[in-house]
Amino acid sequence: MSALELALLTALTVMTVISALMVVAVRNLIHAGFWLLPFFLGIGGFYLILSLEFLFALQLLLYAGAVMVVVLFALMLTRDVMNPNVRQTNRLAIAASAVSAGMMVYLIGAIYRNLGTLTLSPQAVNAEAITRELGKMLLNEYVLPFELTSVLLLSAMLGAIFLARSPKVELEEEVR
Amino acid sequence: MIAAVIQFFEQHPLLWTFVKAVVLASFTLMIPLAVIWIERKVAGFIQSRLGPLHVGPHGTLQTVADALKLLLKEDIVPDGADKRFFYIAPYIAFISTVLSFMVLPFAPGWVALEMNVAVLFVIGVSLFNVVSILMAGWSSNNKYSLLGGLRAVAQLLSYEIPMVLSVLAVVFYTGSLSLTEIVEYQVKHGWNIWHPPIMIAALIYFICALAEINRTPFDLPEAESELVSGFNTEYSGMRFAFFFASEFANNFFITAFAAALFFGGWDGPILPPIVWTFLKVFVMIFVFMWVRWTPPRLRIDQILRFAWQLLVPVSLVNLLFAIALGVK
Repeated sequence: MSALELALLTALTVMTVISALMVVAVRNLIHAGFWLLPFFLGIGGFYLILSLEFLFALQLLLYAGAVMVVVLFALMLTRDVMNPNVRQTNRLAIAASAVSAGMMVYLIGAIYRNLGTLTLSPQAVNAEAITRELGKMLLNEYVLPFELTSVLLLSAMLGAIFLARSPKVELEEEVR
Repeated sequence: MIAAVIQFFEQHPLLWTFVKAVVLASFTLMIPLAVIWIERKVAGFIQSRLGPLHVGPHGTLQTVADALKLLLKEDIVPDGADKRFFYIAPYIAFISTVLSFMVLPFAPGWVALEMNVAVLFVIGVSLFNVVSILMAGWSSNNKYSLLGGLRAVAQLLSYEIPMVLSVLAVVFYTGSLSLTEIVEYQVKHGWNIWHPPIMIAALIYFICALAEINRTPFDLPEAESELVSGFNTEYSGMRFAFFFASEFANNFFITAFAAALFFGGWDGPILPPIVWTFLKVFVMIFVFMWVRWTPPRLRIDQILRFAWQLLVPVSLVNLLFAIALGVK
Protein backbone atom coordinates (compact mmCIF):
# COMPACT_ATOMS: atom_id res chain seq x y z
CA MET A 1 0.00 0.00 0.00
CA SER A 2 1.56 3.27 -1.13
CA ALA A 3 1.80 6.45 0.93
CA LEU A 4 -0.86 8.10 -1.18
CA GLU A 5 -3.30 5.23 -0.68
CA LEU A 6 -2.61 5.29 3.04
CA ALA A 7 -3.25 9.04 3.18
CA LEU A 8 -6.51 8.60 1.26
CA LEU A 9 -7.61 5.78 3.50
CA THR A 10 -6.85 7.84 6.62
CA ALA A 11 -8.74 10.85 5.27
CA LEU A 12 -11.68 8.62 4.37
CA THR A 13 -11.72 7.03 7.80
CA VAL A 14 -11.59 10.40 9.56
CA MET A 15 -14.41 11.73 7.36
CA THR A 16 -16.58 8.68 7.94
CA VAL A 17 -16.09 8.63 11.71
CA ILE A 18 -16.61 12.37 12.12
CA SER A 19 -19.79 12.39 10.05
CA ALA A 20 -21.09 9.31 11.89
CA LEU A 21 -20.52 11.12 15.18
CA MET A 22 -22.18 14.24 13.83
CA VAL A 23 -25.28 12.27 12.83
CA VAL A 24 -25.92 11.28 16.43
CA ALA A 25 -24.51 14.39 18.13
CA VAL A 26 -26.08 17.27 16.17
CA ARG A 27 -29.16 18.70 17.87
CA ASN A 28 -30.90 19.81 14.69
CA LEU A 29 -32.45 16.66 13.22
CA ILE A 30 -32.31 17.90 9.63
CA HIS A 31 -28.59 18.58 9.98
CA ALA A 32 -28.18 15.09 11.36
CA GLY A 33 -29.95 13.79 8.26
CA PHE A 34 -27.64 15.70 5.93
CA TRP A 35 -24.58 14.44 7.80
CA LEU A 36 -25.62 10.94 6.69
CA LEU A 37 -24.46 11.83 3.18
CA PRO A 38 -20.68 12.05 3.87
CA PHE A 39 -21.03 8.99 6.09
CA PHE A 40 -22.59 6.84 3.37
CA LEU A 41 -20.08 8.18 0.84
CA GLY A 42 -17.24 7.28 3.19
CA ILE A 43 -18.48 3.69 3.46
CA GLY A 44 -18.72 3.64 -0.34
CA GLY A 45 -15.15 4.88 -0.50
CA PHE A 46 -13.97 1.87 1.51
CA TYR A 47 -15.62 -0.46 -1.00
CA LEU A 48 -13.89 1.43 -3.81
CA ILE A 49 -10.47 1.12 -2.14
CA LEU A 50 -11.09 -2.62 -1.91
CA SER A 51 -12.00 -2.51 -5.66
CA LEU A 52 -15.51 -3.75 -4.93
CA GLU A 53 -16.98 -1.44 -7.57
CA PHE A 54 -20.34 -3.20 -7.63
CA LEU A 55 -20.85 -2.74 -3.89
CA PHE A 56 -19.68 0.86 -4.23
CA ALA A 57 -22.32 1.57 -6.88
CA LEU A 58 -25.00 -0.13 -4.79
CA GLN A 59 -23.92 1.89 -1.76
CA LEU A 60 -24.30 5.10 -3.80
CA LEU A 61 -27.62 4.05 -5.25
CA LEU A 62 -29.31 2.61 -2.17
CA TYR A 63 -27.78 4.40 0.80
CA ALA A 64 -26.32 7.71 -0.35
CA GLY A 65 -29.24 8.11 -2.73
CA ALA A 66 -32.50 6.43 -1.85
CA VAL A 67 -32.22 5.83 1.92
CA MET A 68 -30.77 9.28 2.45
CA VAL A 69 -33.62 11.00 0.60
CA VAL A 70 -36.32 8.93 2.27
CA VAL A 71 -34.86 9.69 5.70
CA LEU A 72 -34.76 13.41 4.93
CA PHE A 73 -38.27 13.34 3.53
CA ALA A 74 -39.57 11.64 6.66
CA LEU A 75 -37.69 14.14 8.84
CA MET A 76 -39.24 17.09 7.05
CA LEU A 77 -42.70 15.75 7.80
CA THR A 78 -41.81 15.30 11.48
CA ARG A 79 -43.11 17.73 14.05
CA ASP A 80 -40.60 19.75 16.11
CA VAL A 81 -37.77 18.85 13.79
CA MET A 82 -35.87 22.13 14.23
CA ASN A 83 -36.38 22.36 17.99
CA PRO A 84 -32.99 22.01 19.73
CA ASN A 85 -34.63 21.25 23.09
CA VAL A 86 -36.12 17.92 22.08
CA ARG A 87 -34.54 15.03 23.96
CA GLN A 88 -32.10 13.08 21.84
CA THR A 89 -32.84 9.73 23.46
CA ASN A 90 -35.98 7.76 24.22
CA ARG A 91 -36.79 5.13 26.84
CA LEU A 92 -34.88 2.43 24.94
CA ALA A 93 -31.61 4.35 25.29
CA ILE A 94 -30.01 2.08 27.92
CA ALA A 95 -30.96 -1.18 26.22
CA ALA A 96 -29.84 0.15 22.84
CA SER A 97 -26.46 1.33 24.12
CA ALA A 98 -25.90 -2.05 25.82
CA VAL A 99 -26.63 -3.88 22.57
CA SER A 100 -24.39 -1.62 20.50
CA ALA A 101 -21.57 -1.80 23.05
CA GLY A 102 -21.79 -5.59 22.96
CA MET A 103 -21.76 -5.54 19.16
CA MET A 104 -18.72 -3.28 19.14
CA VAL A 105 -16.80 -5.48 21.56
CA TYR A 106 -17.65 -8.54 19.46
CA LEU A 107 -16.51 -6.87 16.22
CA ILE A 108 -13.28 -5.53 17.71
CA GLY A 109 -12.59 -8.99 19.09
CA ALA A 110 -13.23 -10.61 15.71
CA ILE A 111 -10.95 -8.14 13.93
CA TYR A 112 -8.25 -8.50 16.59
CA ARG A 113 -8.24 -12.31 16.35
CA ASN A 114 -7.85 -12.18 12.55
CA LEU A 115 -5.38 -9.31 12.51
CA GLY A 116 -2.60 -11.49 11.11
CA THR A 117 -4.58 -12.77 8.13
CA LEU A 118 -6.12 -9.44 7.06
CA THR A 119 -4.62 -7.70 4.03
CA LEU A 120 -5.54 -4.40 2.52
CA SER A 121 -4.04 -4.81 -0.92
CA PRO A 122 -6.56 -4.25 -3.72
CA GLN A 123 -4.79 -6.80 -5.92
CA ALA A 124 -5.78 -9.58 -3.57
CA VAL A 125 -9.45 -9.13 -4.46
CA ASN A 126 -11.01 -10.36 -7.68
CA ALA A 127 -14.01 -8.06 -7.60
CA GLU A 128 -15.90 -9.57 -10.50
CA ALA A 129 -15.65 -13.09 -9.14
CA ILE A 130 -16.83 -11.86 -5.75
CA THR A 131 -19.85 -10.15 -7.29
CA ARG A 132 -20.71 -13.28 -9.27
CA GLU A 133 -20.37 -15.42 -6.15
CA LEU A 134 -22.56 -12.95 -4.25
CA GLY A 135 -25.31 -13.24 -6.87
CA LYS A 136 -25.13 -17.04 -6.89
CA MET A 137 -25.21 -17.27 -3.12
CA LEU A 138 -28.20 -14.93 -2.85
CA LEU A 139 -30.19 -17.14 -5.22
CA ASN A 140 -29.02 -20.52 -3.91
CA GLU A 141 -27.95 -20.91 -0.29
CA TYR A 142 -29.44 -17.68 1.00
CA VAL A 143 -32.58 -17.55 -1.12
CA LEU A 144 -34.89 -17.96 1.88
CA PRO A 145 -33.54 -15.03 3.96
CA PHE A 146 -33.33 -13.00 0.75
CA GLU A 147 -37.00 -13.58 -0.05
CA LEU A 148 -38.03 -13.10 3.59
CA THR A 149 -36.36 -9.69 3.52
CA SER A 150 -38.52 -8.67 0.60
CA VAL A 151 -41.64 -9.87 2.43
CA LEU A 152 -40.54 -7.85 5.45
CA LEU A 153 -40.04 -4.74 3.33
CA LEU A 154 -43.39 -5.26 1.64
CA SER A 155 -45.21 -5.58 4.95
CA ALA A 156 -43.42 -2.48 6.26
CA MET A 157 -44.59 -0.59 3.18
CA LEU A 158 -48.17 -1.81 3.53
CA GLY A 159 -48.12 -0.91 7.22
CA ALA A 160 -46.87 2.58 6.45
CA ILE A 161 -49.56 3.11 3.82
CA PHE A 162 -52.25 1.84 6.21
CA LEU A 163 -51.09 4.08 9.06
CA ALA A 164 -50.85 7.08 6.77
CA ARG A 165 -54.26 6.85 5.18
CA SER A 166 -56.74 5.33 7.64
CA PRO A 167 -58.24 8.47 9.27
CA LYS A 168 -58.19 10.61 6.12
CA VAL A 169 -60.35 8.70 3.64
CA GLU A 170 -63.16 11.27 3.63
CA LEU A 171 -60.76 14.13 2.95
CA GLU A 172 -59.59 12.60 -0.28
CA GLU A 173 -63.14 12.30 -1.56
CA GLU A 174 -63.71 15.93 -0.68
CA VAL A 175 -60.77 16.99 -2.82
CA ARG A 176 -62.23 15.22 -5.83
CA MET B 1 5.42 16.32 -29.87
CA ILE B 2 2.15 14.50 -29.19
CA ALA B 3 4.05 11.30 -28.41
CA ALA B 4 6.12 13.22 -25.85
CA VAL B 5 2.99 14.58 -24.19
CA ILE B 6 1.42 11.11 -24.05
CA GLN B 7 4.59 9.70 -22.57
CA PHE B 8 4.76 12.45 -19.96
CA PHE B 9 1.22 11.74 -18.80
CA GLU B 10 1.81 7.99 -18.80
CA GLN B 11 4.60 8.58 -16.34
CA HIS B 12 2.41 10.82 -14.16
CA PRO B 13 -1.01 9.12 -13.95
CA LEU B 14 -2.09 11.35 -11.06
CA LEU B 15 -1.50 14.47 -13.14
CA TRP B 16 -3.41 12.88 -16.02
CA THR B 17 -6.36 12.20 -13.71
CA PHE B 18 -6.25 15.83 -12.62
CA VAL B 19 -6.25 17.05 -16.24
CA LYS B 20 -9.23 14.82 -17.03
CA ALA B 21 -11.12 16.12 -14.01
CA VAL B 22 -10.51 19.75 -14.99
CA VAL B 23 -11.51 19.15 -18.62
CA LEU B 24 -14.68 17.35 -17.53
CA ALA B 25 -15.68 20.04 -15.04
CA SER B 26 -15.11 22.80 -17.61
CA PHE B 27 -17.06 20.83 -20.19
CA THR B 28 -19.93 20.51 -17.73
CA LEU B 29 -19.83 24.29 -17.22
CA MET B 30 -19.62 25.06 -20.96
CA ILE B 31 -22.34 22.74 -22.20
CA PRO B 32 -25.17 24.73 -20.53
CA LEU B 33 -24.09 27.84 -22.43
CA ALA B 34 -24.82 26.09 -25.72
CA VAL B 35 -27.92 24.26 -24.48
CA ILE B 36 -29.51 27.39 -23.01
CA TRP B 37 -28.93 29.31 -26.24
CA ILE B 38 -30.52 26.50 -28.26
CA GLU B 39 -33.37 26.32 -25.77
CA ARG B 40 -34.14 30.01 -26.15
CA LYS B 41 -33.92 29.82 -29.94
CA VAL B 42 -36.19 26.75 -30.06
CA ALA B 43 -38.64 28.38 -27.66
CA GLY B 44 -38.66 31.45 -29.87
CA PHE B 45 -39.24 29.35 -32.97
CA ILE B 46 -42.14 27.45 -31.37
CA GLN B 47 -43.75 30.61 -30.03
CA SER B 48 -43.25 32.52 -33.31
CA ARG B 49 -40.66 34.96 -32.04
CA LEU B 50 -36.95 35.43 -32.60
CA GLY B 51 -35.26 34.65 -29.30
CA PRO B 52 -31.87 36.18 -28.41
CA LEU B 53 -30.55 38.15 -31.37
CA HIS B 54 -28.32 41.07 -30.45
CA VAL B 55 -25.24 39.78 -28.59
CA GLY B 56 -23.02 38.11 -31.16
CA PRO B 57 -24.22 36.52 -34.42
CA HIS B 58 -27.82 35.31 -33.86
CA GLY B 59 -27.40 35.99 -30.15
CA THR B 60 -24.88 33.16 -29.67
CA LEU B 61 -22.96 35.17 -27.08
CA GLN B 62 -26.08 36.01 -25.08
CA THR B 63 -25.68 33.12 -22.65
CA VAL B 64 -21.98 33.88 -22.24
CA ALA B 65 -22.92 37.42 -21.23
CA ASP B 66 -25.63 36.07 -18.92
CA ALA B 67 -23.18 33.70 -17.27
CA LEU B 68 -20.64 36.48 -16.73
CA LYS B 69 -23.34 38.65 -15.22
CA LEU B 70 -24.41 35.88 -12.85
CA LEU B 71 -20.84 35.27 -11.74
CA LEU B 72 -20.28 38.96 -10.98
CA LYS B 73 -23.58 39.60 -9.23
CA GLU B 74 -23.86 39.97 -5.47
CA ASP B 75 -24.48 36.69 -3.71
CA ILE B 76 -27.47 37.31 -1.45
CA VAL B 77 -28.07 34.98 1.49
CA PRO B 78 -31.40 35.31 3.34
CA ASP B 79 -31.18 36.18 7.03
CA GLY B 80 -33.09 33.15 8.23
CA ALA B 81 -31.26 30.72 5.96
CA ASP B 82 -29.47 27.69 7.27
CA LYS B 83 -26.16 29.18 6.08
CA ARG B 84 -23.81 26.24 5.78
CA PHE B 85 -26.25 24.03 3.88
CA PHE B 86 -27.44 26.98 1.83
CA TYR B 87 -23.84 27.51 0.68
CA ILE B 88 -23.01 23.97 -0.35
CA ALA B 89 -26.31 22.81 -1.94
CA PRO B 90 -25.59 24.20 -5.47
CA TYR B 91 -22.15 22.64 -5.50
CA ILE B 92 -23.52 19.22 -4.58
CA ALA B 93 -25.89 19.52 -7.53
CA PHE B 94 -23.03 20.46 -9.82
CA ILE B 95 -20.70 17.74 -8.53
CA SER B 96 -23.38 15.12 -9.08
CA THR B 97 -23.60 16.22 -12.71
CA VAL B 98 -19.83 16.20 -13.23
CA LEU B 99 -19.63 12.74 -11.66
CA SER B 100 -22.18 11.35 -14.08
CA PHE B 101 -20.21 12.76 -17.04
CA MET B 102 -17.19 10.94 -15.67
CA VAL B 103 -18.31 7.50 -16.89
CA LEU B 104 -19.93 8.62 -20.15
CA PRO B 105 -18.24 7.28 -23.32
CA PHE B 106 -18.20 10.03 -25.99
CA ALA B 107 -16.30 7.97 -28.57
CA PRO B 108 -14.16 4.80 -28.50
CA GLY B 109 -11.67 5.39 -25.69
CA TRP B 110 -13.06 8.84 -24.88
CA VAL B 111 -14.22 8.11 -21.38
CA ALA B 112 -12.72 9.71 -18.27
CA LEU B 113 -13.15 6.65 -16.07
CA GLU B 114 -13.82 3.18 -17.42
CA MET B 115 -16.10 1.65 -14.80
CA ASN B 116 -17.66 -1.78 -15.12
CA VAL B 117 -20.72 -0.71 -13.12
CA ALA B 118 -21.15 2.64 -14.88
CA VAL B 119 -24.93 2.32 -15.26
CA LEU B 120 -25.51 1.81 -11.54
CA PHE B 121 -23.02 4.56 -10.74
CA VAL B 122 -24.87 7.06 -12.94
CA ILE B 123 -28.21 6.28 -11.31
CA GLY B 124 -26.58 6.54 -7.88
CA VAL B 125 -25.00 9.94 -8.38
CA SER B 126 -28.11 11.32 -10.05
CA LEU B 127 -29.80 10.91 -6.67
CA PHE B 128 -27.36 13.44 -5.15
CA ASN B 129 -29.18 15.95 -7.25
CA VAL B 130 -32.32 15.15 -5.28
CA VAL B 131 -30.42 15.58 -2.02
CA SER B 132 -29.14 18.98 -3.13
CA ILE B 133 -32.65 20.12 -4.12
CA LEU B 134 -33.95 19.05 -0.72
CA MET B 135 -31.02 20.79 0.96
CA ALA B 136 -31.58 24.02 -0.98
CA GLY B 137 -35.34 23.97 -0.42
CA TRP B 138 -34.97 23.39 3.28
CA SER B 139 -32.10 25.75 4.05
CA SER B 140 -33.63 28.71 2.17
CA ASN B 141 -36.18 29.08 4.98
CA ASN B 142 -38.88 30.03 2.50
CA LYS B 143 -42.20 28.24 2.15
CA TYR B 144 -42.11 28.23 -1.64
CA SER B 145 -38.62 26.80 -1.67
CA LEU B 146 -39.54 24.09 0.81
CA LEU B 147 -42.70 23.17 -1.10
CA GLY B 148 -40.72 23.07 -4.33
CA GLY B 149 -38.08 20.89 -2.68
CA LEU B 150 -40.61 18.42 -1.28
CA ARG B 151 -42.46 18.22 -4.59
CA ALA B 152 -39.19 17.66 -6.38
CA VAL B 153 -38.27 14.77 -4.13
CA ALA B 154 -41.68 13.09 -4.40
CA GLN B 155 -41.59 13.42 -8.16
CA LEU B 156 -37.96 12.49 -8.76
CA LEU B 157 -38.12 9.41 -6.53
CA SER B 158 -41.36 8.23 -8.14
CA TYR B 159 -39.91 8.52 -11.64
CA GLU B 160 -36.54 7.11 -10.65
CA ILE B 161 -38.14 3.65 -10.25
CA PRO B 162 -39.59 3.17 -13.77
CA MET B 163 -36.45 4.80 -15.14
CA VAL B 164 -34.17 2.33 -13.40
CA LEU B 165 -36.42 -0.55 -14.49
CA SER B 166 -36.25 0.54 -18.13
CA VAL B 167 -32.48 0.98 -17.93
CA LEU B 168 -32.24 -2.50 -16.38
CA ALA B 169 -34.10 -3.88 -19.41
CA VAL B 170 -31.17 -2.68 -21.55
CA VAL B 171 -28.69 -4.10 -19.04
CA PHE B 172 -30.31 -7.55 -19.21
CA TYR B 173 -30.51 -7.37 -22.98
CA THR B 174 -26.85 -6.58 -23.50
CA GLY B 175 -25.60 -8.43 -20.44
CA SER B 176 -23.36 -5.62 -19.18
CA LEU B 177 -23.39 -2.78 -16.66
CA SER B 178 -20.58 -0.92 -18.42
CA LEU B 179 -21.68 1.86 -20.77
CA THR B 180 -18.75 1.27 -23.10
CA GLU B 181 -19.61 -2.42 -23.41
CA ILE B 182 -23.27 -1.61 -24.01
CA VAL B 183 -22.31 0.68 -26.89
CA GLU B 184 -19.81 -1.83 -28.29
CA TYR B 185 -22.51 -4.51 -28.20
CA GLN B 186 -24.74 -2.24 -30.28
CA VAL B 187 -21.95 -1.50 -32.77
CA LYS B 188 -21.77 -5.26 -33.37
CA HIS B 189 -25.43 -6.28 -33.13
CA GLY B 190 -27.34 -3.17 -34.19
CA TRP B 191 -28.99 -0.54 -32.04
CA ASN B 192 -31.00 -1.65 -29.03
CA ILE B 193 -33.93 0.54 -29.98
CA TRP B 194 -35.01 -1.87 -32.78
CA HIS B 195 -35.93 -4.59 -30.28
CA PRO B 196 -39.57 -4.37 -29.08
CA PRO B 197 -39.01 -4.57 -25.27
CA ILE B 198 -36.25 -1.97 -25.52
CA MET B 199 -38.49 0.23 -27.62
CA ILE B 200 -41.00 0.34 -24.76
CA ALA B 201 -38.16 0.82 -22.29
CA ALA B 202 -36.92 3.78 -24.34
CA LEU B 203 -40.38 5.34 -24.31
CA ILE B 204 -40.61 4.96 -20.52
CA TYR B 205 -37.09 6.32 -20.19
CA PHE B 206 -38.06 9.33 -22.28
CA ILE B 207 -41.07 10.12 -20.06
CA CYS B 208 -39.03 9.65 -16.89
CA ALA B 209 -36.17 11.73 -18.27
CA LEU B 210 -38.59 14.62 -18.78
CA ALA B 211 -39.61 14.27 -15.15
CA GLU B 212 -36.01 13.88 -13.93
CA ILE B 213 -34.84 17.15 -15.43
CA ASN B 214 -38.01 18.99 -14.34
CA ARG B 215 -39.34 19.74 -17.78
CA THR B 216 -42.93 20.65 -18.57
CA PRO B 217 -45.33 18.82 -18.25
CA PHE B 218 -43.39 17.68 -15.16
CA ASP B 219 -41.91 21.01 -14.06
CA LEU B 220 -43.79 21.02 -10.73
CA PRO B 221 -40.65 21.46 -8.58
CA GLU B 222 -40.00 24.88 -10.08
CA ALA B 223 -43.38 25.91 -11.42
CA GLU B 224 -42.75 29.63 -11.87
CA SER B 225 -46.37 30.63 -11.71
CA GLU B 226 -47.13 28.69 -8.51
CA LEU B 227 -43.91 28.50 -6.55
CA VAL B 228 -41.86 31.45 -7.84
CA SER B 229 -39.42 28.90 -9.27
CA GLY B 230 -39.38 26.59 -6.27
CA PHE B 231 -36.27 25.39 -4.51
CA ASN B 232 -33.95 28.01 -6.03
CA THR B 233 -36.08 31.07 -5.26
CA GLU B 234 -33.64 32.46 -2.71
CA TYR B 235 -30.52 31.82 -4.72
CA SER B 236 -28.75 34.56 -6.61
CA GLY B 237 -25.51 35.20 -8.41
CA MET B 238 -23.00 32.41 -8.73
CA ARG B 239 -24.86 29.85 -6.62
CA PHE B 240 -27.93 30.23 -8.79
CA ALA B 241 -25.68 29.90 -11.84
CA PHE B 242 -24.41 26.57 -10.54
CA PHE B 243 -27.95 25.23 -10.06
CA PHE B 244 -28.86 26.41 -13.52
CA ALA B 245 -25.70 25.00 -15.09
CA SER B 246 -26.17 21.63 -13.46
CA GLU B 247 -29.78 21.46 -14.61
CA PHE B 248 -28.88 22.10 -18.24
CA ALA B 249 -25.80 19.91 -18.12
CA ASN B 250 -28.07 17.19 -16.73
CA ASN B 251 -30.32 17.76 -19.70
CA PHE B 252 -27.33 17.04 -21.94
CA PHE B 253 -26.26 14.07 -19.88
CA ILE B 254 -29.63 12.37 -19.72
CA THR B 255 -29.86 12.42 -23.52
CA ALA B 256 -26.27 11.25 -23.92
CA PHE B 257 -27.06 8.38 -21.53
CA ALA B 258 -30.11 7.54 -23.65
CA ALA B 259 -27.96 7.66 -26.80
CA ALA B 260 -25.53 5.17 -25.26
CA LEU B 261 -28.28 2.88 -23.98
CA PHE B 262 -30.72 2.87 -26.89
CA PHE B 263 -29.24 4.54 -29.98
CA GLY B 264 -25.82 2.98 -30.26
CA GLY B 265 -23.81 5.79 -28.66
CA TRP B 266 -21.05 6.80 -31.08
CA ASP B 267 -22.16 4.27 -33.75
CA GLY B 268 -22.90 5.69 -37.21
CA PRO B 269 -21.60 5.75 -40.80
CA ILE B 270 -19.10 8.16 -42.47
CA LEU B 271 -18.86 10.87 -39.79
CA PRO B 272 -16.37 10.41 -36.91
CA PRO B 273 -17.82 8.80 -33.72
CA ILE B 274 -17.68 11.94 -31.56
CA VAL B 275 -19.81 13.82 -34.12
CA TRP B 276 -22.41 11.04 -34.03
CA THR B 277 -22.61 11.22 -30.25
CA PHE B 278 -23.21 14.95 -30.31
CA LEU B 279 -25.62 14.69 -33.25
CA LYS B 280 -27.79 12.16 -31.41
CA VAL B 281 -27.64 14.16 -28.19
CA PHE B 282 -28.68 17.41 -29.82
CA VAL B 283 -31.51 15.83 -31.80
CA MET B 284 -32.86 14.41 -28.52
CA ILE B 285 -32.37 17.71 -26.72
CA PHE B 286 -34.41 19.33 -29.48
CA VAL B 287 -37.22 16.82 -28.90
CA PHE B 288 -37.10 17.57 -25.17
CA MET B 289 -37.42 21.29 -25.85
CA TRP B 290 -40.24 20.69 -28.28
CA VAL B 291 -42.13 18.87 -25.52
CA ARG B 292 -41.28 21.55 -23.00
CA TRP B 293 -42.76 24.39 -25.00
CA THR B 294 -45.90 22.57 -26.12
CA PRO B 295 -48.06 20.88 -23.42
CA PRO B 296 -49.17 22.60 -20.20
CA ARG B 297 -48.17 21.61 -16.66
CA LEU B 298 -49.92 18.77 -14.80
CA ARG B 299 -50.98 18.63 -11.16
CA ILE B 300 -48.71 16.93 -8.62
CA ASP B 301 -51.23 14.17 -7.79
CA GLN B 302 -51.78 13.43 -11.47
CA ILE B 303 -48.05 13.18 -11.99
CA LEU B 304 -47.52 10.82 -9.06
CA ARG B 305 -50.52 8.66 -9.96
CA PHE B 306 -49.24 8.35 -13.52
CA ALA B 307 -45.84 7.18 -12.28
CA TRP B 308 -47.05 4.63 -9.74
CA GLN B 309 -50.17 3.28 -11.37
CA LEU B 310 -49.06 3.18 -14.98
CA LEU B 311 -45.31 3.51 -15.50
CA VAL B 312 -44.12 1.23 -12.68
CA PRO B 313 -46.32 -1.79 -13.61
CA VAL B 314 -45.68 -1.38 -17.33
CA SER B 315 -41.94 -1.12 -16.89
CA LEU B 316 -41.94 -4.15 -14.55
CA VAL B 317 -43.77 -6.32 -17.09
CA ASN B 318 -41.53 -4.95 -19.82
CA LEU B 319 -38.45 -5.84 -17.78
CA LEU B 320 -39.70 -9.45 -17.55
CA PHE B 321 -40.09 -9.54 -21.34
CA ALA B 322 -36.63 -8.08 -21.82
CA ILE B 323 -35.14 -10.72 -19.53
CA ALA B 324 -37.04 -13.52 -21.30
CA LEU B 325 -35.99 -12.35 -24.76
CA GLY B 326 -32.56 -11.00 -24.01
CA VAL B 327 -30.67 -13.33 -21.70
CA LYS B 328 -28.79 -16.00 -23.64
